Amino acid sequence: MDPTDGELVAAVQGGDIASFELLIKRYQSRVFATARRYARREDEVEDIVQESFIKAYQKLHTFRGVAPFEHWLMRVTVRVCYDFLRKHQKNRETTYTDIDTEDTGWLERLNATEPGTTEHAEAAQQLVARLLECLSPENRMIITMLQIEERSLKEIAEITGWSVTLVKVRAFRARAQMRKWLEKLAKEKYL
Amino acid sequence: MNLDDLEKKIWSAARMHRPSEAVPYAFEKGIMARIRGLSAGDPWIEWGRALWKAVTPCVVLMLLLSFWSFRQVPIQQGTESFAAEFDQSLLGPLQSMGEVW
Repeated sequence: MDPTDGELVAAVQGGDIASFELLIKRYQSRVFATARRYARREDEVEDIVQESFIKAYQKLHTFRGVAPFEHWLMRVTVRVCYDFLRKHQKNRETTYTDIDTEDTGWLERLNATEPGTTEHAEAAQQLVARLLECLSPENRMIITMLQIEERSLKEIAEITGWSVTLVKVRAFRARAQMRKWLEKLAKEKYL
Repeated sequence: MNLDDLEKKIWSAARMHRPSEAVPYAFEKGIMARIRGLSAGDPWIEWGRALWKAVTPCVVLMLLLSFWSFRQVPIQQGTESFAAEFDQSLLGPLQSMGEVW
């Protein structure tokens, strides 16, 4: 029978480092998926995942077992992703004006394809990804968790460590910003 | 074009796209190698940790010794003899210098 997360954590806390490898194997796919929402390049994704697990190991003594280990690990991962976005924001700042004709082409494809098709999903995903890159790291993180992962404001506050009020304010601003850009894109294309 | 519809379309389509959960082969080995490297330890960090662990026992010992030393000497008597001893320790060397000269 496989050991539970609690048993593995207790073993690691007791000095058995090898047990941590089992925890990594159990959750690395989820951590990879989360990291891929925020980084495009695979080398960056691998860095984020490595950093997340190393931070989790270093902070394992703070895990009290109140919430499932997976939730705790996801919190650590999201914070690493946020640090990554902030660090790379200066290097890779995209403004709305950088959205070029290829991106506006996605809007046409989106309208031209049937909902539920792969092409439709790809077009939407590309457009959303480009618009998200224009947001600040905080707003991008919130919109991703709110609109795409469909988490509640309370969950987002717990994961990020921000207050619910702050999350609400940022969510409002991020939605307004995205809507404004979408409106502008649509007007440019269709007027 | 209805902006609300467009917004709903792009979000629901974006939700359909799930990022890949693929993991490079033996990725966990690389992480474990790094963790083992961290655990091999920086001697200064180990030294710092040992010092922090020693803080509580040292404070307890200090309190016990203080309590014990207070209990050893009764206060009033202690005050008188302390004053006399203090005078002696301060003035003693001066007195002996005076005798020499």
